Amino acid sequence: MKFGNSILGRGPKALALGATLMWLGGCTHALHMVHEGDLSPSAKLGEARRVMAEGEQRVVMGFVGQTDYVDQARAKLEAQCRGGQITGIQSRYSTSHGFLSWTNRVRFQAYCVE
Amino acid sequence: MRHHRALRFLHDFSSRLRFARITVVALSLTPMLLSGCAIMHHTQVGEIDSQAVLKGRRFEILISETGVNFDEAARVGKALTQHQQTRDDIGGVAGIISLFQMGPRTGNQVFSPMYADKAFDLIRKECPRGVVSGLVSIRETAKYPVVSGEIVKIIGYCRET
Repeated sequence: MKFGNSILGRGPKALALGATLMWLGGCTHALHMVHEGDLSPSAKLGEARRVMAEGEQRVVMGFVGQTDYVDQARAKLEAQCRGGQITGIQSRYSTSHGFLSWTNRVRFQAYCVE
Repeated sequence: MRHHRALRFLHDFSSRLRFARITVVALSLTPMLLSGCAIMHHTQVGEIDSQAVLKGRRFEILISETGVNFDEAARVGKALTQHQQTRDDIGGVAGIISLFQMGPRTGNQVFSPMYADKAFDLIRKECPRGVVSGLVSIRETAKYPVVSGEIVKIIGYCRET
C-alpha cells in the first residue's frame, strides 16, 4: 500500500508526531458552567460530611440515549444525606470530547449536615 | 558629487522609512499579542444575606486553566511555513485531531475540567467559621493567540460569627 506524499508516507517520525498530537488532542474537555451555592448560616460545617454525586450522558454522532442524568445525579446526592441538610452545593457541567462522540457530565459536591 | 550625495540621502531615507514602518507594525501588533479578550460565558448569583454582604468581608477566588485552540494552532503552523507539503500535513493532522474532539465547547478545550472543583474547598478556607453569602459564580475566558485562560471566578462575602 502506497501512501505517497501524505503524512503516512513520511516515515516513523511524522507518524509519531501525528500520534502524539492526536493523543494530546484526544483527551480534551470543555468546562461550561460552575456554580457555588450558599452555605446555610445554621449549618455547623465542622460536623458536616462531604457528599458527591455524578451523572453523565453519552452522545454518539449527535444521538442522545439518556436525558435524565441530571435528575439521577441529584437523586444520588439526596440519597447520601437522608434526614440531613445539604448545603453549599457546587455544580459543575462539563463535556469530555471523544472520537465522533462526547460525554456530557454533571458533578455535584456539597456538605451534609446531620 | 552632488548627484552622489542625493543618492546617498535617498538611500538613507528609504532605510529609515523601512525601519519606521517595521517599528509601527511591531508596536501596533504588540498590544494585540500581549492583551487578551475577555469573554464571559455564564454567571449566576446565589442568595443574598444583607448582613453578610454589608458587614462581612468580600473575598474573591480565581481559578484558571490553560485552554488550547488546536484549529488556531494549525492555522499559525500553516502560516509559518512556506512548504506546501508541510502545510498539507498540518492540515491533515488538524483534520484528524478534530475528529477526536467532537462535542460542545465553551471557550477553548482544557485537559482536565476538575480544576474548578478546588473552589469548593477554597470557599471554606476563606471563611472557616463564618456565614458565606452573596456568592457570584462567573465562568469566563481570557483569550490570547492559540491559548487562553479558562477562568472560574467566585465572589462572595464572609461574616465571621
